[in-house]
Amino acid sequence: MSAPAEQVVAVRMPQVNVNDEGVTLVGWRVADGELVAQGQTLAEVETSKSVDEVPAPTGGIVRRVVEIGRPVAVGEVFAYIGPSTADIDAFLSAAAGPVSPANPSAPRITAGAVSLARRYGIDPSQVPAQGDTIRREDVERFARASGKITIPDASAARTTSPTLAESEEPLPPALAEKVGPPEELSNHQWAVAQHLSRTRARLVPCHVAMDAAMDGVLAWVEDRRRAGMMTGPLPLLLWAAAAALKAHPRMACFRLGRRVYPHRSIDIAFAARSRDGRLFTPVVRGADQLAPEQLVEECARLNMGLFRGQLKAEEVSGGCMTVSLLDQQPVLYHVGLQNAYQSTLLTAGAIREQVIWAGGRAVPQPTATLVLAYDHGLLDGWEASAFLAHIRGTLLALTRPPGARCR
Amino acid sequence: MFLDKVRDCMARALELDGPTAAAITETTTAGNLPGWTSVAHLSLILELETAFGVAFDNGEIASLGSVAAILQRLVAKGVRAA
Repeated sequence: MSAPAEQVVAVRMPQVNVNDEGVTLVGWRVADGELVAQGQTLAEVETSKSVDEVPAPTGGIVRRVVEIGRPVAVGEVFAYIGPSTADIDAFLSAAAGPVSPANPSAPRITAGAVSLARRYGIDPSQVPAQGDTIRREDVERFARASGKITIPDASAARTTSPTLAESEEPLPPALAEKVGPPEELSNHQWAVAQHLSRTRARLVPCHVAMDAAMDGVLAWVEDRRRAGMMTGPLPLLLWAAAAALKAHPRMACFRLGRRVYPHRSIDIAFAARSRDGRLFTPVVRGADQLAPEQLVEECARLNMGLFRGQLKAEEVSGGCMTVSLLDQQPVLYHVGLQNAYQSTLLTAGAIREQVIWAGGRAVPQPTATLVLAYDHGLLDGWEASAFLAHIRGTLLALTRPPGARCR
Repeated sequence: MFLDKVRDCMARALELDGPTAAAITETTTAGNLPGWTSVAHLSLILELETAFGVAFDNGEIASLGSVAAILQRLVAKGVRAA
C-alpha cells in the first residue's frame, strides 16, 4: 500500500467514456472514513455504455461527498482523500464551497447544468436555483439574463429538440388520472436517453435509403458457416462501411457548432445487446485494415466480451460511425440516431425476398434496405447518397467473381 | 459420451427440439443447423464452458461454428471422453 496522502486531495470524476460529459454514481466500494490504497477502486459509475470502476488517485482516508444514484459531471469533485477525517473536515471548512458538505444549505447542481455552465463559461456556483437544485434551465436563464450569450428560447427549442429538463417536468394534471404510477428508468437507460438527447440537440438529423441486393452477402455468409466460421452479415456491413469511409473521409468527421473534427482512424461501432438486454456499441478499431474474416473474428470477440460483461469502457465508446443490423425481426428499415461525436449511422433491415424482373421473367432477389442517418448540418444529400451508394456497391460486388469468394 | 454432452449443450442453448438435437453429428455446422445463430452461439459457448469446466478465449469464438471444431477444441483443452 502506498503512503497515505500528506494533504487533502479533491478527487474529481475522470472522463470514463469519451462520449459522456458525466456519469451516474452507482456504488461506493469504500466506506466513508476508510483507508484506501492508491489505485484501489473507490466507486462504480455508469456511463452511457457500461459500468466502470474509478480508482483512487492517491492513498489515504476517504470522505465521500456524493450519494449513490446522483449524476456526476466529468471534473466534478465526488470525494476527498486525506491523512485523516479531521484533516479533511478542516480542509472543507476552510474552503467551504457550494459542493462541500461543510455547506449543506448550498443547492445541489445537476451534471447537465455543470456541463452547460462550462460551455457558456459560467461559474455554476453563481447560478441561482429555482428550488434546491440548479438545473440546466437555471443555467440557461442566468446566461440569457447576463446578456453575454444568445440562447434560443427554450419553448421554441422544445418543438424540435426535447431537452432533458423536459423529461423531468411533472405530469400534466389532466393526465394524472389517466396513467398509472411511473416507473424509474434504469440508470443505463437514463444514460442512453441523456446521450441521445444531447446528440439530437447537436446535429440536424436527416436520412437517405437504398435497397441492396444481398445474394452475394448471403452466399459469403453461408460459405463460411458451412466451413465452421460463426458469422452473419454484420462483418460485411462493417467491411463495406470501412471502404466507403476511406473513399469519403468527410463522412468520418463530426460537427460541433461551426467546427468540424476529423476522426484520425476508421474505428466503427456496431449496435449490440448485452445478455440482460442493454444496448451497447462495441467498436472495431482500424476496421479499414481488416479483411472480412478478421472482422468476423473481431465482432465475435467483442460480442462474447459484451455477453460476459467483460468489455472495458474504451471498447464500447468512440468510433467515427455506427452500424446497426436489425435482422432479428422482419424489419424493413429503421431510421436511427447517431452516436455522439459521429455524423453517420448505417442501419440495415432484415434480408427479404423481393421479386425483380430479370432475363425476361420475375425472380426472387434477396434484398435489404440500407438507411444512412447523417448530419445535414455537415453533409448534404448528395454526399450522403454517394457514400451510401459506395457501401451498396461494395456489397453488390460480392456477387461478381473472382473478386468475391462466394459461389 | 463426449458428443452426447455437446449435443445436450446445443439443445439447451439453441433451443432445439428432440429430433433436431438427436440429428446432430460431427459434421453439423452453423451452416446446416437452423437455429445456430450468432446470438445463440454466445449462449452455446457459456453452456459448453459450464458443462466441461473449460474457458474459451473470446478471440476463438468465431471459429467454433461446427461440432467438429468444438470437439477438437475441447480435446485440446484437456477434456477426455468419459
